[in-house]
Amino acid sequence: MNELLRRRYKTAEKRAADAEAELRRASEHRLAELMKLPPRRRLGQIEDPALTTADRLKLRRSIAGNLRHKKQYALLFGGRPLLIRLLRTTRYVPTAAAVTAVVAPILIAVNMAWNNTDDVIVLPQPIELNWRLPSGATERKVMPADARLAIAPQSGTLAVARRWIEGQGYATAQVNIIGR
Amino acid sequence: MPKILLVAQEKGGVGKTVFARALAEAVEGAPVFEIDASRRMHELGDRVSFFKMRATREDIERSGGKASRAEFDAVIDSIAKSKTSTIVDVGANTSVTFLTVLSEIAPTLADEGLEFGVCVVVTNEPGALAEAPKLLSLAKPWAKARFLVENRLHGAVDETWLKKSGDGARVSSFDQQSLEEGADEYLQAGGLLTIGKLDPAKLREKHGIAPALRIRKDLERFRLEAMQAVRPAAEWLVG
Repeated sequence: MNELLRRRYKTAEKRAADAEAELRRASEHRLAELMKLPPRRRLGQIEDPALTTADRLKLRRSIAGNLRHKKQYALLFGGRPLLIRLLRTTRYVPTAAAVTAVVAPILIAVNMAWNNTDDVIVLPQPIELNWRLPSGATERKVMPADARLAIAPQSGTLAVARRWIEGQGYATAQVNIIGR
Repeated sequence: MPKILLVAQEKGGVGKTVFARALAEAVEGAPVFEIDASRRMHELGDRVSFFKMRATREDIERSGGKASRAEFDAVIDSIAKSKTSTIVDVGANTSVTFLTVLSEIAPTLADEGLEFGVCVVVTNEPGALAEAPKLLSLAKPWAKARFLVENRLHGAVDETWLKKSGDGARVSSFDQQSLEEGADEYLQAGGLLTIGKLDPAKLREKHGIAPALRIRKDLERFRLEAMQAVRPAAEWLVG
């Protein structure tokens, strides 16, 4: 192959890789800053535009993990010696069991909702997607520019978009988000 | 021996000019002939010879192609005089007529030392799917190389169709690209050439740090993917 042509492609590949690396570095740097914040303050930064989808997910998981492990633990068993002492006292066991019975399902529901919440992107231009309907059928549909699309990252540059269809369930479509 | 690579598709809006631009990026310095109703590849400056097509689609159909044939004389003269390998972006609504006209002359031009290749662009749209096999078939008797670029702008083209309708042409694909808001204006303003000339500081000033990084990443990725889609054709052109 022509050497000049080979070099042109090599340069184009390097430029694309450099631009991607620069974006990733900036996102990692921002993520490191945000991870120093307490979980409650991190929550306010979940949609930080400087984060890539992958780093946004890491931030989200760090908050979810923190809330799941530390806060629940603190609320029920830790951080309050008085509460522990009270729980050790048998006469409070029925009360504690009742409180747990009420609080635990709420925490589980919040946690499930948290983990199942997709990112929302606004389409810069119309795109045509092949939707897999709840019935198993496929539907080709053009999503207009400015439409809001709920997406969950899958692997690499792929994400899954979800669309709620009344009375049927979620339709899903694979979207290439080229690593954003 | 100069090679002439024709980028063609009768249907508009399939990204033909994007791939002509990608070829121009890959094959540095190759002259570009642009046959269209209005000039689009301004960013390439003197590299582009523009041939204006004045005939409307109605004129062409009413005259059985004669209306546009008359306008091809200048293009064919220029092709015949080519001393170096050249990219020809054949505009929508004229590709079939142009390739038909060229079919009559190509053998003579081949005797004079020219070699022809054709790069047809197809999207998953009825119009483009109907025209692509016609163009490949028209070029088959006289084109030394035929390429089919599948632009997945409207979803992937059925693989069986590509194999069957490609009729031996070398197939490559261009995935649908997702662009950061604001990125498209750079593509529209200056095509792929502009991407390499973007000033990061100005980008940051206009869009903010994070969007500027994403715009640059998306544009560089777009340029690379477009160049990869035409790589087989570019290799043939310089080979």
